[in-house]
Amino acid sequence: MRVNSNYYAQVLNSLDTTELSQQNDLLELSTTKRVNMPSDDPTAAALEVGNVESTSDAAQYQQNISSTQTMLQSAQSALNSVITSLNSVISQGVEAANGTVTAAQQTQTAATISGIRDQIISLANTAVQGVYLFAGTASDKPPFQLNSDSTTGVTYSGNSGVNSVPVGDNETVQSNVPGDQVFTSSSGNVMQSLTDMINALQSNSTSGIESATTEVQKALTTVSLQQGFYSSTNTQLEADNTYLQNETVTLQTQENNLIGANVAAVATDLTQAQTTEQATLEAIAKVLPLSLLNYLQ
Amino acid sequence: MSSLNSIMSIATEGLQAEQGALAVTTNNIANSNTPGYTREVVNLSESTTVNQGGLQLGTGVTLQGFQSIRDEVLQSQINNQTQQTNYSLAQSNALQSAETAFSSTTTGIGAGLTSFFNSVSQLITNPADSSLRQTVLTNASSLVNSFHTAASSISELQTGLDETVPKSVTEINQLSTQIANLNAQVVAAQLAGQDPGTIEDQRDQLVSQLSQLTSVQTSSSSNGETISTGNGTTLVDGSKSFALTTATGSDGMQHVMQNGQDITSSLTGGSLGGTLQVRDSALPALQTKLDNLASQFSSAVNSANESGTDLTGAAGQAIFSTAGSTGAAATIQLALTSTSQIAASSDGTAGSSGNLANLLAVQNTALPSGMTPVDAYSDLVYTVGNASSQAQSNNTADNAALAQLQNQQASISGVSIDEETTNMIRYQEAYQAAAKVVSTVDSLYSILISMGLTTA
Repeated sequence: MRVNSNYYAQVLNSLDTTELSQQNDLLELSTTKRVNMPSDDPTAAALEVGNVESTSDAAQYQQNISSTQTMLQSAQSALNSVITSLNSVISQGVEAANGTVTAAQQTQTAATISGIRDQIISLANTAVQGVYLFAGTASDKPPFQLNSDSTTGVTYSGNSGVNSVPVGDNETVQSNVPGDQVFTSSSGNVMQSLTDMINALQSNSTSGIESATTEVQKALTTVSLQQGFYSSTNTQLEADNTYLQNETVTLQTQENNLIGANVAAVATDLTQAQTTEQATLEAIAKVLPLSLLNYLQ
Repeated sequence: MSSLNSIMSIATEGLQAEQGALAVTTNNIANSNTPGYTREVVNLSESTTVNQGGLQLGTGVTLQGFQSIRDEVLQSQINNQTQQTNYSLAQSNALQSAETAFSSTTTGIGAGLTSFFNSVSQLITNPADSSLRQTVLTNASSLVNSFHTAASSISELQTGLDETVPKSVTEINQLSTQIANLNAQVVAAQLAGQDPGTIEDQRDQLVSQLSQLTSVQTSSSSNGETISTGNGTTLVDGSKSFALTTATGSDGMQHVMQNGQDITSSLTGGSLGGTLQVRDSALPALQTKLDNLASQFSSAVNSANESGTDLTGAAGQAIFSTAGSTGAAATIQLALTSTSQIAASSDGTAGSSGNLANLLAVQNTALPSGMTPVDAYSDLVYTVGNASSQAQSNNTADNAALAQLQNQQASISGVSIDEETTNMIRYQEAYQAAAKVVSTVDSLYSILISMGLTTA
């Protein structure tokens, strides 16, 4: 059989192949990625696009959770102060109605409670980063103003709107409770009860003080109920955050499976390619001088 | 009985024959690295015998000529494989350039879409915040840039490929002309009774070069080879060649013409075929997907923004503008000029994020293409990656097949130095032996002549 004795082209070709394989291995090792171009694995590259989106979304949800928590915690701490104040009003109301308190003392108490009301209005106008927490969605200005013409003693310029913040795929949490549900609710109106209490104390009406105390107690119940919303939402956000942390780890694992290089395997491949190249070179060195001419002198 | 004269003449023929054989061997060795060279063998035959006194006596050797050892079928297989290999090589090179625009997962359209939606998501936590609004606009603007970059990388690649078309056509024309000239020489040599092997080698080499550019079909006739493109457009017929021309078509691209007829779509193989396939089919398909994504994404986002109220209380307007769905990726622009124009509110108040939820919903809602924006981009990545991967693996396979065919051809037509060296020794020895015969006859003559002298 006649063979092709001019095998330099083939030898060069096989050297090219092993060198290309080494280059690929080096690229994979330096980037620690198996897929550096879509054509390396089109399916994995396409899935990776979705993975990057999910990872980025998860990070954004965590950021949203953190921003929302800041708002919720401020609102919660404002309501804690309101609750403390309301408790103090109740005890002062009970004391003022026990029959031993003089009219002058009641008027004095009215002034104290008026101060407490100012404080509560100020708490109801709490703002974080320019957002008034108890204004509904009209959150760009303070929602409560003292107004002696109003029966409740205040005007509410906010609205009943609520916002929802995305904290997961298809999951949102309510991020605010409008002021009219917290401070001027029909089930327990904080502002009305305080104004009634001040009026009753000023007019030295024991029965008025007693009924105002009951009103304040109802208002306290309402505020406590709303405070419960904040703490339960906070708990939910903590849980969501933990879930997202786990999801991020899962996504990283997925990404690694999709496009990550198996460093050990690539390193082995590289060694093998180097060995192959060396063997090829040694073979060439042995074979190339083989010519009949070398033996004919 | 044979005479000394006839022995002398047989020896002379032998000397000539071996000399001819040595010439062939030398020529083979000299051309052992010439591309396209086909080894030649010497064609020796016995001279006619003569009858002398009832005995059949040999009269020596005749040098009939030289013959090139070629396999026409193999040559045409190689030509075919060459055009396939160059076709997949052109595709693979072009598509590898195309896919770089879609290779990054941290920059580009995919990451841009996600960043845009993430900034909308963040704005929900504080809808009136101007710095968060600015982030949305900044991300929208960089998404627009990503669309532009991707669109222009495709169109630049297309222009680059387009520029190679007239060059390839010029090369085809030059090769056609040369082949036609060689055809005439082959016919002339054949008429003169000579072996046109060397000219055929050159012609085969040119046809092989032509195969690198486009697929060709060859057929032999009495006036040389007829060569036509894969679809039957004649390039060479005997000693005549037919030039191709290029003209700018209605799509702004170079079209290949012959006699006023557009044959672009029928040029299928070789590097020209591969270039045309990528330019006219693969890249436009990619461009269409990109345009669809840009136009469908922007119209979905626009209608979401239009359903809300902006920070000034005015109705929302389009966030992006595009000049129609064709070319959307290249022409998409950010239409908003102020951060207040993001229509976050669903109830008219500044603090409402109700409409941002609509905007964010675009992220996970199927566009008219049936895919969400990021999925549509992912599909694009798959399409370009898969096309490139296929072209690369086709090219690897084609190269292997071509190498095998070339190896097979070299085993038939290639020059083996060892073989030629052996032949050289053989011919040298035969030459020496024939020369010895001449000197022997010479000494016989001397004996004969001196015999005459002594008798005289």
